[in-house]
Amino acid sequence: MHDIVLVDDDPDIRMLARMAFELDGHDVVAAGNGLTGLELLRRTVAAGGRPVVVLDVQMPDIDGWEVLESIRADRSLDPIPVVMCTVRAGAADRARGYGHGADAYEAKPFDIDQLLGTVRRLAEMDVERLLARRAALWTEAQA
Amino acid sequence: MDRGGFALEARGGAVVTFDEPLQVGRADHDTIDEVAELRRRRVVLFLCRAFVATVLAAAAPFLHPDGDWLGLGLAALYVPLAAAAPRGRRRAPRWDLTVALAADAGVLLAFGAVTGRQTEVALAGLLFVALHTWADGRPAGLAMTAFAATSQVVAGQVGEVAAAPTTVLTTATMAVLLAFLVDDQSTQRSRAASGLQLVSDKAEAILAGIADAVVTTSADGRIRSVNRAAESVLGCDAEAASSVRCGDLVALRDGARTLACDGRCQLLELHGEQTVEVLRTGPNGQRQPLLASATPLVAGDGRVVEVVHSFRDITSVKQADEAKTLFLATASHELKTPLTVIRGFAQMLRHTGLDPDQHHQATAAIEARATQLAGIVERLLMTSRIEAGHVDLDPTLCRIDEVLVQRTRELESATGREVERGVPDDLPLVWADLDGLTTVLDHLLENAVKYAPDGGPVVVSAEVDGDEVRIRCTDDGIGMTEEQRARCFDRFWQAEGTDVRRFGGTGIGLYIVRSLVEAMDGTISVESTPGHGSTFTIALRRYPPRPAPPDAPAAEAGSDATGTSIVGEFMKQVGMPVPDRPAAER
Repeated sequence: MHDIVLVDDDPDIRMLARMAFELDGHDVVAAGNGLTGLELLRRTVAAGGRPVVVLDVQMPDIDGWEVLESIRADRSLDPIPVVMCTVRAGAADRARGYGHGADAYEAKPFDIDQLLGTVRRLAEMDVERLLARRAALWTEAQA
Repeated sequence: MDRGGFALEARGGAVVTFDEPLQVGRADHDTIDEVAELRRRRVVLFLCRAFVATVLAAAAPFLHPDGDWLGLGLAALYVPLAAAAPRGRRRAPRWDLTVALAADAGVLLAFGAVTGRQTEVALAGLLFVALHTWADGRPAGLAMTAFAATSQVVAGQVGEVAAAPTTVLTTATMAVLLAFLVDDQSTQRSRAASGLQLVSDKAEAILAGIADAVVTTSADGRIRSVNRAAESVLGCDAEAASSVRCGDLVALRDGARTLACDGRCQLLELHGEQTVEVLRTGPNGQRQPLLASATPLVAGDGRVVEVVHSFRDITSVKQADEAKTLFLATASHELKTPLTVIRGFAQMLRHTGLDPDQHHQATAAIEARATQLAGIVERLLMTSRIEAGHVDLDPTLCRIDEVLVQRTRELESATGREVERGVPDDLPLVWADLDGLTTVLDHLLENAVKYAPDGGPVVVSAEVDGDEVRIRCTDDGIGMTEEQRARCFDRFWQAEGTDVRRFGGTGIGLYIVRSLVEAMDGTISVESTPGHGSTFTIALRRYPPRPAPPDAPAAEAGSDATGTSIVGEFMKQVGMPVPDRPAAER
């Protein structure tokens, strides 16, 4: 069962993240654009999985913000943690991410161990706590 | 005066020549004084000569048997002299008057010699000198005039001279004095009037010359005048503008608020005399950012009689600003993405669990992305060199076909995309900097691949056209709209926010390409259809220039004899094989 859905348009970054996550014991499925990413996520969830989404922002076709909005618009995907992983790491971008329902924000160039830690924490978090935490981040972002 | 000062202070811009009314006032007065002085001297000289002519005509019959004719003749001689009194805007030099004076004195002395009445003529001459001196503005002239007049009276009384000429002289003197008095007053008046006229002309000239639109309105917003720049900044016709209200012409928005112009100027009400950024809604609905200010023109009783508005079009400043912001965002993205890969794989290399394949993947990715980073940094540096005007290109004679084949093969091996080459192998040499040309071609080829992501064909061709060799690079990618096409060589420009997202890039590639091509004395152009791709065409000067037709004048002497060896020497120096073709073409 895939436990990480990786969405990034850069093939090297996909290769890097896949290598790191797999060495850390995860099962990774990766997409090079937002639409494919959404499709892979839905399929994984339909198969009974609860993956962590690692999502880039600047991508062809639909960007990471739109993917995030689509995920959060779907109530059945509420328990899915989303980690934004992007070069756009200004305060306004972070606020935008949390405002759209992201669970974590990793700025590129990321520290691979930190990314692994974040993903592991979110994967292990129970849904109730995840939603409470997300709501708190959302409130903070509104301020 | 006030009005001029107001209008110019209202601009609020960086050009502040009129911000110190005192200095301008002083300068104006100098000009006014000069003009008035010239005018006075001209009038005085004219009167002097009229006076001499009158005296001669009146006195001659009493002094000589043929006096009637002699006097009339001399008087007639003076008419053109009087008319030739100094004129013009420049201060007449002193010698002008001195020469006139000497000529006049000569005529008088000759008259005395002919008539044998030197005494009277000498007295008249004295009076004449006095008038001239007065004309020069010396106080002594007044005293001498008085002395001459008095001496005439005294002379008449002692009966040394005939009564009639003395009376004529005295009367004429009085008439001239009176004329001076009258003239002096009218000079004062005209001086004030011409002073006002000058200041008003100056204000008009400045208003017409500045690049900011200046619109004056009545207190209730009716347009009284617009300057020339208003026609380009606000797109209004000076004639038509005078019939509309300011609010209708300018239609400003301050953030979300519309600045209405009903009865009172909102710009003035809200911001006082500060310069503020506002948005104007143009006639076609387009938004135009303006730097605006309003300054009231207050009458003596405190009433606002006019409002002077100034508007500066800051569209280009805003665009440059936005382009720079976008550039910083995209450049940081472009730099951070390879850095992410490099940093991540470098961290992975510490991991003991990597198999040899993964180890190889990591090092290969690091190497490739470091190379990419170096390229980006090189582009940034190149841009800054271009900006600073430090592009050092050294155009040499290049085999364009070889360069084209080499660069396109490089692209093919790097991207796996196929390039169709239409490059004849008998192209003439061109003047180009080899490194610069390589950079240019690589950029164009990269773009062709990048903006045609579906893997369509990239076509590169070259042909001779007159004195130029044209190189074309065609893709069947997303293409550009007309507006995008027009701006694509601008610095920091990128097609759209969405394209930045889709295609990345720093927006400096084509700017560098254009700058390099122009530095090589070439030209670049682009044709494009949205959805059907783009064709970039570079034209470089060929060598040798096209052979002249047989009946045309021969080429410059010497060039034929030495051309080949110079080229050969040149080619040897740059380490290229000396081709036979240029010589053969001759």
